Amino acid sequence: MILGLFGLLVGLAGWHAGTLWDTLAHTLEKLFGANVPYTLRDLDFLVSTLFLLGMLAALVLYSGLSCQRIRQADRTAQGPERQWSIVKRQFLKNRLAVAGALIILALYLVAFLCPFLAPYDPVEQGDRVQERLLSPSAEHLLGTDRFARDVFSRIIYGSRISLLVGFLAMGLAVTLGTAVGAVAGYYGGWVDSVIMRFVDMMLSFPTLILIITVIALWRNQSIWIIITLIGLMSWMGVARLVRGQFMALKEREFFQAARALGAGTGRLIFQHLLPNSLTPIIVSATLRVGNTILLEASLSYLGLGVQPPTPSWGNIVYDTKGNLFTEWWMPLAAGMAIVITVVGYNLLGDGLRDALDPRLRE
Amino acid sequence: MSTEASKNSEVLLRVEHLKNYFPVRQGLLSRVTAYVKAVDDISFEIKAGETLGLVGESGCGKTTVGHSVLRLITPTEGTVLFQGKDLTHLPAAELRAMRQDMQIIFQDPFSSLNPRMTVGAIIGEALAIHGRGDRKERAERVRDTMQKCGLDPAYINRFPHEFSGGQRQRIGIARALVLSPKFIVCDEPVSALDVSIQSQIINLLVELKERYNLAYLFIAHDLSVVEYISDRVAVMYLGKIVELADSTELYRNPLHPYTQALLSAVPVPDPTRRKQRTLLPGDVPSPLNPPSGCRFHPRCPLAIDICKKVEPRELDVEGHKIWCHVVEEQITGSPPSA
Amino acid sequence: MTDVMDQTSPQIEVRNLKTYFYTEDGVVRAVDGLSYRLAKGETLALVGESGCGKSVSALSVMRLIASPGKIVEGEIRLDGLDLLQCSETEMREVRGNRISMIFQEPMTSLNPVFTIGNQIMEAILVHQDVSRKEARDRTIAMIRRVKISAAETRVDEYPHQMSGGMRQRVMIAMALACNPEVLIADEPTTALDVTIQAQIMELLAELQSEFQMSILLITHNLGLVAEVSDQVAVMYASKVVEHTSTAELFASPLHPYTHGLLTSVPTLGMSKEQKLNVIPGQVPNPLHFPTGCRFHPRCPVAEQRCKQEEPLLREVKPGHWAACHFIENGKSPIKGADR
Repeated sequence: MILGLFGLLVGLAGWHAGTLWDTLAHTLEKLFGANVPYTLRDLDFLVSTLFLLGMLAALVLYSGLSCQRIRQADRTAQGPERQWSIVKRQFLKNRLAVAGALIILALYLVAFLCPFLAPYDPVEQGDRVQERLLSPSAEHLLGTDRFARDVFSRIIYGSRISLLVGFLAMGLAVTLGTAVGAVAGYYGGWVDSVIMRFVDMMLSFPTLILIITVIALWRNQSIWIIITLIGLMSWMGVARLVRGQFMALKEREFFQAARALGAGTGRLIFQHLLPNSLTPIIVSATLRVGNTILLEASLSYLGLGVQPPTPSWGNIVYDTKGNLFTEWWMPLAAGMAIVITVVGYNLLGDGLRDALDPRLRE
Repeated sequence: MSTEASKNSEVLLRVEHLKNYFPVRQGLLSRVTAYVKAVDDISFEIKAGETLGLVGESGCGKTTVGHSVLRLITPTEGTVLFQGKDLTHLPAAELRAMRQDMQIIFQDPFSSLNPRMTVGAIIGEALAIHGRGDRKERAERVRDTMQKCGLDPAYINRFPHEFSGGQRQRIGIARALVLSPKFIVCDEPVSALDVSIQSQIINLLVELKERYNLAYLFIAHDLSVVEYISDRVAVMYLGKIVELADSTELYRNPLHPYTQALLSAVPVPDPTRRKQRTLLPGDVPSPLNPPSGCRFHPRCPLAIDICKKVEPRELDVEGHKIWCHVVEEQITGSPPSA
Repeated sequence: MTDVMDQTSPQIEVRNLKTYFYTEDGVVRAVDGLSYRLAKGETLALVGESGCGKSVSALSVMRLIASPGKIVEGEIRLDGLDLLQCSETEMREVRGNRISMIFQEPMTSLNPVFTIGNQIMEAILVHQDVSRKEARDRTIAMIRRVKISAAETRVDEYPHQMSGGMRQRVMIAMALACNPEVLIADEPTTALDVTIQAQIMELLAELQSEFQMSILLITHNLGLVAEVSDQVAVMYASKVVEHTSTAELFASPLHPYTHGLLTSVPTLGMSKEQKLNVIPGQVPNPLHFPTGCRFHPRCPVAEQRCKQEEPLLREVKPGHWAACHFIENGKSPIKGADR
């Protein structure tokens, strides 16, 4: 399964490099004529996100949570409900968690529907003399920046970068962390000691400074480099988590039973250990997205993130920080967007943790 | 009953001088400072179709024996011969194949089943691992085994948390049974169940044993249950076997003072039977630092001088084995040699 | 041995106790009409399986039921004083002082960060007006009384330094430190080895006669019941199904559930040819008790009437109460139940 995930990630990378782009572009032109509602840039985001959502769904299914609906007969009888419905019910009871989920949902909707929601093209510059630094008005909800670009549209489009980076970096971190943690947890002994010392070493690096250094040295600020770097600096927490889970699960009787049946390493890890470790991983992953978004924003704020003219909340703040005291609404709006997103993910993560963990422990 | 038949059947499992020492590590470099002698030189054999009960209190090592016999834990010393093959030195692939003939049932019905797998997957896993039949055949066999264990085959796609404790234990039994093993280690299979459910499971185990000529190593601390289901019983104390005899003989005529104390301590549900109780002083000592000589001597009402220095050797009285200096002296008439 | 149902001033009397839990899944009727009387120095065993309500009834007596649970009906009289009418302050005088409780798991019932001496002293200092020195002396005396050797050194040890049997003795010392009138023992030996169990039960018997305590013993072990109790009440699905003296219960169990329990447990010395009786099915979910007689789905002699009409607990023989439609002339509906 992990191999499958890796393969899909590689496929995603290939997608960008390959000629599939052109084929798709042609198809779209044929369908919509000249007014293609989505640019290739948008498609990029769309596909990546759908892809990741697909992976997430696969993970959830893999974890064995039964998604079948409760049959009427079961409801009235004395039997317990399906795990998934218990989880769903617990989650829905937690208002904050639902709020978090709604925020994230709204965010993704905004991200998908950018071209329809944003009144202007985010990179299009208006009249540099007349239209720069306008105050919020009916035409420009958040005014314009110093390049006469509509700030509101930029913020809407900025959501895509944040979400993309957040999600992909998290995906990389979780995959890598799980793999490392699994090996350490399963084998124990000196393997575990060596790996954990390595993890400790990685943890002692100051993340931001390291990323800055690499970017500065490499002189390449493409979004993929940023995603990779952030991912590479965020996997350690997951590794520790997974290792702990594996070590605890190895003591459980069902694991011993599987060994007694003659199960090999692969089956033991993928059938027994991993599915039962997914709950804390899912929670950790959700909370981690908040972190990665903040990291990206910090980088952009320092001017080392996504390069303009592509809007990202971080680089909007970077662009407009000079105008902090005069046109304060610009950095504020971008900042608020970041805050809302991170809070949303945190609430979602907390809610998931509460809903998933105690209920599934008998 | 099987006692008669098993006298003539072949020996399925032979354990010789089994030792399981667990190192205690302390300090920065994890130096070994001491050993927990969980199992210290145990030997016994089980014939096909026979049930050997293993009783003892906490810390006596009975669970460790059960796990060692299946090589879930590697013994420190000694040999475990199953169907003539030495399990302790078997290469991994052969060991795996042997697992089809020897299985285990666990104590806790709540943690012995993977909560993320369906019942069908749990029971059928063994078949999948050893490549028996295709998917359809396996499902058929799983359903069949479920029925034999008193489970409704229609529930094959349900999850463990949807079943009660007794039913989960049945699932555990079905899992062990699906490969048609010859030998099953039952590690406290009924201790965690309600009283009214225990008899269901005990009856099931007895029925399966008779139907399929299974050999059991029945590990438990409840003497009444062990005596009922076993042909022979071994009593363990602090890593050693102190007495081994036919179960009815053991109950009627316990020779070792520990066995006597154990039997007298069991409360009997009959108020008319006022018991003469031998109370043992003190607590069960830790296997980290076992007493010298006979391990039971600090608590033994019969202890004599030699008990503190020399470990008792095996004395076989018409199949009734005992390890005790005092009893040896009584039976053979001559004082035990140092 | 005292007479069952001694009409003259019982030490503790419970009448029609009902404790319900109002959960989001519905109302759980944990205890549904429990009554008993215990005289001074007597032992009552409350027998039943998990979920039958016996532990909840003990907590109800101690008024330790927390929301969403609530004692909805009943009277609990301790030497005349109605505990359900007491204020919380008054209850605190009673707990640990006049009624004490010991639990099943000594490790989790003892506070791991305090010494055992500290915990026993706490019980004394809360209820009795004595100096710390005096309390400490009494503590050491109590530790000695529960047969822990080297009491002067052990008094400063922590629970994790002691074995399960010793921890249970410490709990007994804590419970008895203030000389209570009633001791509630909730499965006190289930987690212990059988030889240690024998020691503990022997100790309790000695202390009972010395302190003249009444003991409410909660257990599922019928052997223990036979050995130490004077009266037995058998509970099933939150109700009492049979209640009589111990000798009478084992000699002639009238209720089919009691009979099932007694015959499904293997006993030492029984013949292997004898098949264990099986009570089919499982313990009902407290949210959905069966209609009529709660035992009817598992009862070998159940009929249509049992599904509709709940049998009341009535005196079917002098001193012997049972709740079953088919007990006539003091005879069990199960053939061969009487010895």
